[in-house]
Amino acid sequence: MLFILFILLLMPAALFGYLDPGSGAVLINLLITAAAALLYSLKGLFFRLLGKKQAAQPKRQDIQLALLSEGKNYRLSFQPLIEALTAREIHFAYYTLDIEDPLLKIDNPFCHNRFLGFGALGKYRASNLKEALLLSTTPNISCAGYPIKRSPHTHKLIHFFHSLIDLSMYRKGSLDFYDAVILPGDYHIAPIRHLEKLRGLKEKELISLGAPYLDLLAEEKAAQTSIKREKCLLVASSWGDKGLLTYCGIEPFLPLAEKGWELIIRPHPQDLKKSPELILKLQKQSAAKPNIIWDFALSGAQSMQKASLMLSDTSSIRFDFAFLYEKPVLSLEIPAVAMPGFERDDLSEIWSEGAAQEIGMVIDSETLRQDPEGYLLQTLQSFDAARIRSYRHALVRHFGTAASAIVDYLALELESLKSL
Amino acid sequence: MNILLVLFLISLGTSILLQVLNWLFRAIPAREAQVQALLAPQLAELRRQYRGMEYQAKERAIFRRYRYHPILALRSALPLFFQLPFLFAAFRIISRMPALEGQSLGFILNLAAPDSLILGYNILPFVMTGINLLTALLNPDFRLREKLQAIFIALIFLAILYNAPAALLIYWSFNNLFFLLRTLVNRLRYRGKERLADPLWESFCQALPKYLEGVALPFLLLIVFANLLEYLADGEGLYFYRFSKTVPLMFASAALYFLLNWRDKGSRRYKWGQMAGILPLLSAALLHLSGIHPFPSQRYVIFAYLCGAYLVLAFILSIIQSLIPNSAPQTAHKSLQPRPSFWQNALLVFILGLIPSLHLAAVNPMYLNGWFYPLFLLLPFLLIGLAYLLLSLFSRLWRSAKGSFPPLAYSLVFTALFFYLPVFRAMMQKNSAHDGDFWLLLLGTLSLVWFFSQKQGNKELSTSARQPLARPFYVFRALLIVFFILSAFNFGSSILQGEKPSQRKLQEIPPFLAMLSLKELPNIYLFVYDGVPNPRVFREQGLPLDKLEALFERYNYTLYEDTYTLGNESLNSMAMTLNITGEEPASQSKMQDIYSGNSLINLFLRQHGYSSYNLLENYFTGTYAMINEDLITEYYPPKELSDVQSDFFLTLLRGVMQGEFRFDTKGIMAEDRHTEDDRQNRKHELIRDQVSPKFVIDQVSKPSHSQNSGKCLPNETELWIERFEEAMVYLANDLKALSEHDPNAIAIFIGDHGPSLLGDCYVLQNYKREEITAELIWDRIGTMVAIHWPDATRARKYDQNLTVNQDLFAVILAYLADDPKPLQLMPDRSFSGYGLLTRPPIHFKEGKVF
Repeated sequence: MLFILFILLLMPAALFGYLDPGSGAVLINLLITAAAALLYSLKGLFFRLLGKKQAAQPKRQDIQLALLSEGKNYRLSFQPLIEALTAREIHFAYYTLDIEDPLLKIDNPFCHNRFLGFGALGKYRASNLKEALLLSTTPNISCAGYPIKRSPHTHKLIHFFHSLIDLSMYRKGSLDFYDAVILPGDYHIAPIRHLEKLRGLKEKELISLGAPYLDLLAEEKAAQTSIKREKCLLVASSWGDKGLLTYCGIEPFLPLAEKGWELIIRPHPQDLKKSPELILKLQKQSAAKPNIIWDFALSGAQSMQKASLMLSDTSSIRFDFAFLYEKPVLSLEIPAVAMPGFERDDLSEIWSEGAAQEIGMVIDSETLRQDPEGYLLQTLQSFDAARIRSYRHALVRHFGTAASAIVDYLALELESLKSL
Repeated sequence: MNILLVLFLISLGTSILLQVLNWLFRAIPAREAQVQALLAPQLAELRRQYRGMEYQAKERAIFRRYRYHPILALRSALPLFFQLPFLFAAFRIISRMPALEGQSLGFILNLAAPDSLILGYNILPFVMTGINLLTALLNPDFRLREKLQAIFIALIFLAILYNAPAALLIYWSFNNLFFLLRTLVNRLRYRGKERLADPLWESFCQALPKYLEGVALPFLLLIVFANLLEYLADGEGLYFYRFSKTVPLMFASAALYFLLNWRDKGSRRYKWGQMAGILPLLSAALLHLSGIHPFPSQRYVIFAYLCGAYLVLAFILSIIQSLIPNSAPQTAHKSLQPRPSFWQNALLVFILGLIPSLHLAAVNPMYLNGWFYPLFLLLPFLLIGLAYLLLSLFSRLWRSAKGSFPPLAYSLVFTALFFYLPVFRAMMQKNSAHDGDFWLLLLGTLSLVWFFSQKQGNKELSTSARQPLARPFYVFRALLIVFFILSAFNFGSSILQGEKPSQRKLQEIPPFLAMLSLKELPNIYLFVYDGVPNPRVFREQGLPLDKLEALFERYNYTLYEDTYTLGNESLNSMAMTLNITGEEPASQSKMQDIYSGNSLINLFLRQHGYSSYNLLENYFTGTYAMINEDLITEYYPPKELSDVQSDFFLTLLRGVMQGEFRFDTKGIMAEDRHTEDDRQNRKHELIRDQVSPKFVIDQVSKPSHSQNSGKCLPNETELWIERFEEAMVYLANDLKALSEHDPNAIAIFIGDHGPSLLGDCYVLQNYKREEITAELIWDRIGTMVAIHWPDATRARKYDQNLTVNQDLFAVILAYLADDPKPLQLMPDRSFSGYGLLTRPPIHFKEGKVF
C-alpha cells in the first residue's frame, strides 16, 4: 500500500482523472491486483526455474472418466464417488458448474477437479468435455432447449440418481440421450423401459447399484449423537409449485407451535434461490413463535436426527428420512395439475405415490387443517420401524456401499474402453 | 451562471453515462468478489501450512481448480476502464477551456485558476473531498474495507488536485454530488433490509475504543508537546501568527478534550463536559459575528488562544477524572505491552536516541564543536525523558488508559521521528509550512507499535508466559543496529575526515592578476542589501522603485538594469561574487571560508595594501572568522569562538525543534548582543574615518525574502515592502554618508538574491518544469546592482557587459587597472538551480529559461 501511495505521489501529472469513491476503491484494488499478479507470476517463474520436478501426472487425454456436477447441492451424491475413486487410485476429472461447490476444495492427485466457468461459458465447456465416460446426476443433457449438449468426445453418457424418487419428477425426455442409467433399485426399470418403448428409443443400459448419497448420509447419521425430541416436526418442502410451502404456506402448522410442538422448517435450496420473497414472508409470519426454527443448512442431517416425524410433499427427502432415520413421514398431497411438463404425464403409474403409503400416511391439506396434531400423533402411533427396514432392503441396492459398487462398474467400463 | 449550468449539464451527462456503464458491467465485480471470498480462506490456510515452493505449487493448484489467475481480478475494474476516456475527456476540456480564463463565478475570481477562497487557501478541493467522504461513509454497499479504500483515494486526490482550476473542481463536485444522491437513494432501498455481515467492521467496532485510548490520546498529547517545542524554538513569538500551525493544533487540542470527555460516556459528567467543550468555539464565533475582535492587530491569533483554552480544559478534565473516577464501568486494561528486559530497553533507548543525533551531527560539522558534540548527542535523551514523563503522568491521570499503550516505546518513536523530521523534510525537499507530514508519520508509527504490542501482549496473556518476540520485532531490531552502525560510522568519518577550518587553503590568484598594476586605490564599499531585486523585478511586480531610483540618481550611481546572480541564496551568491566565479563552492563551510576573508578579491586587494573590514553575521562567516582573522583587519561584531559555537549550536537546536533547517534559522545569543543598528553605526564610523585604502563588506538583513514556508502569505508583498522601506532608511543614510565623507570611493550596493514574492514564495516546489517562467526566476535571482564610479567615463569602458553579480569585481579590477584583462574572469551567465528529486535543475540565461 505504501508503495502505491509513493507511486501516486510521485506521478501526480499522470493521474489527471478524478473518480467517485466507488471507482476510487476499484482503482486501488486494481493497482494492488496488478502488483500481486506480477508478483505471483514472477514467483511462479522463479520456483519453476529452481524447483524440483513434481510427481508425474497423467496427461489430459489419458483421463477417460469425468464426473459432471451442477453444483454444491449435489455434493452428497458425488462425494462418496470421489472418495471411492481416489481410494482405488483411479484418475478422473470432476467438473462443476458452481464455483461454490465444496468438492473443488479436494486436493488429491487422482481427482482432477475444475470449475467449468460462469454462465454460458461453463455450459459450453460442459458440452465439449474430452473424456470418454461421463457420469452425471444432471438429466436433460442434449434435450431441446437445454444448454448442455452431449460432447462429441463422450463415448458413454451415464446418468445416476441423486435421490430415490423415480423418473416421474424428471422433465419430459430428460434421459432420452443417455447410454446408461445407474439406478438406486430395480423399481426404476419399468418406468424407463415404458418411456423408451413409448418414444421408440434404443434400450439404455440399466444397472441397479444403489444411491451413493445414502452412503454419506448413513455415515453422517452414524457419527451423530441421538438428540431425538418427542414432539418435533420437520417440515421439508420440495421447490416451486410442487412444494408444500408454495402450495399452502406454513399457516396449517402454526397451531402445532401453540400446542408445544417444535417445528423445523426446511425449505428446498432451489426455493431460496428462486423465491426468496416467499421464504422471507413465511419467516416473518413465524417470527413471533420461538419454537419454529428455519433450517437452511446444506445438509439436513441435524434436523432429521432431531425430528420425531416429518411432514413433506412429493420430495424425495421423505425416503431419506424414513430409510436412514427409520421415522414416520406424513405426506401432503399436491395436485398433479401443478406439475406440467414432467415425465409423470407419460407414466401410467407413479411409484412414489404408492411408496408414500409404505413409509407413513398420506393426507390432503384440508384434512390436515382440521386436526393437525391428531394426524401427527396418529402417524407416530401407526409407525413400524421393522417394516420400513424390510421395505428399504427390498427397494435400495447396496445401501451404504453404493459408491463402491458404482466404482467397480466404472473400473470395468474403463477397462473395456482400453480394448476399443 | 451560464457556466455553472454548463458544468452542471456536462456533469449530469457524464454521471448518467457512467451509471449506464456500471449497470451493464455490474455482474463482473460481483463475480470477482465471490471468487475472492471463496479463495481467501483457502489461501490463508495454505499460508499457515506451507512455505516457499510448496506453497506456490499448492496455490497454483487452487487457482487451476477455480480456473483463476490473480490477473483476472483486473476484470472487476472493467467498468472503470470504460469510464476513464469520459473522465479524461471532461478533464481535458474543462482544464484547458480558453473561455474560462478570467471568468468569475460568485466569490471565485477566475474559474481557470485555483479558487484561493480563504486566506489564499483553496476551498473547493475540500468541498469535493467532503462530498466524497460523505458518500464513502454512507454507501450501503461498502464494507469497512471499501470505505477505507475510498477515504484513502479521496485524500490522495485531494493532495493531487489541490491546485486544480476551480471550474474542474466544480464539475467534479457535481459528479460526486450525483454519486452521493445515488448513494442516498440506495440507502432508502436498503432500509429495513438485513445487511450483509461485515466481520471487519465488527472487529473495528471492538478495537476502536482501545485504539482511541491506546493511540489517539497519546498521539494528541505528543502533538501538543511537539508544538510546545516548536514554540520554544521559535523564540520570536511568530509562532502565534502562523495559522497553518495554530489551526491544526487547535483541532488537536479540541480533539484531545473531547476524547477525554468521551471516556466519561455514561456518566452525568459527560454532558457537562460536552457543553463546556463547545463554549470556547461558540464564544469565538459569537464575538466574531458581533464584530468584536479581541485581537484586532492579527485576528488569526484567536486560534492560538482557542488552542490554549482547550488545553486548559483538557488538563482540568484530566485532573477531575483522576480525582473522581467515572462511575460507569471502564474498560480494564491489562498490560498489553511486550516485556523486554531492562537491558533490552536500555539498549533500545540508547540506539534509537543516538541514530538521528549522530546523523545530524555528522552532516552539520560546521555547527558543532568541542563539548557541543556530547551536548547535542544528549538532546534526544532529554526529549525521550520528557515525552516519557508526560505520557506516564497522563496515563496515570487517565487511569483506565494506564497499560493501554507503551509510554517508553511511544517516547522513543516520537523522539526519533521528531529528530529525523528536518532530515526527512530535507530529503523530500519539503518545508515546515504545516506539520501534516509529522502528524501522519507519528500516527502511523504509533499505530504500528500499538498493533504489534497488542499482538505480542495478547500472546503473553493467553499463555501467561513471556513469549519470544514476533519476527517483525527482530527485523526491526536488526535494522536499528544496522542504522546505528552506519550513523556511528558517518559520524566518525565526519570528525576524522571532514573539513576543518584549521586546514585552510588560501585562494590562488591567477598569475595575470597577480601581475596587474592598479592605477589608483580608492576605498571600496560593498554593501549587500538582502533580497533587493533589479529594476525589472520592481516594475514587473509593482514594487516601489521610484524612491530608490531617485536616491541613486541624486548621488550619481549607475543602477544596472537586468542584473542577476548565479547563486540563489545569500551565502553561495556572495561567495561566488567575491571569487568571481560561476561555480558554486562545494560546501557551506567553503562559502563561509570565502565570505569571511579567504576570497580572491580580499586577498588581491590586501596584496595591494587594502585593509579589509567584514561586518557580517555569524551565519555568513561561521568559525572561519577565527581562522581567517589574519586576512581581515576587523570583524564586526567581534568574533569569539565560544560565542560563535554556542550560536551555531543553538541554531542547530532550533532547526531540530522547528522541524526544518531553514536558512533564516538563527542562533540566539549573538543576536541579542549586537543588533543591526550596532553594525550600521560601525559601518558609518568606517565611512567617516578617512583611513585609506580599505575594502568594507556589510550585509544588511533587510528587506530579505519571503518567509520560506512554501506558501505565500496573503500579504507577503506588503510585508516585504514594509521591510524594504526600513532598508531604504539605512540605504539613504549610507548614500548620504558616502557622499559627504568619501565621495571618491567605489561604492557598490547590491542585492544577494531576489525577494521570492511570486509562485510559492519558495523554491517552486510543486511546479512542473513547463510552469516555471522567466518571471518566476527573475523574482528569485534578479538582483540590484548600483555602483558609484569616481570616474564614470573610465567605468563605461568596462561595465558594458556587467550582467551578473559575479561580473562585478572583474569590472572593478579592470576599472582600477584601466586594463580590460580582468574582464576575462567574467563567468558564463548561465544560472542553474531549483532542481528537485522529481524535476531537473532549471537553467536561466539573460532572461531565457531553458
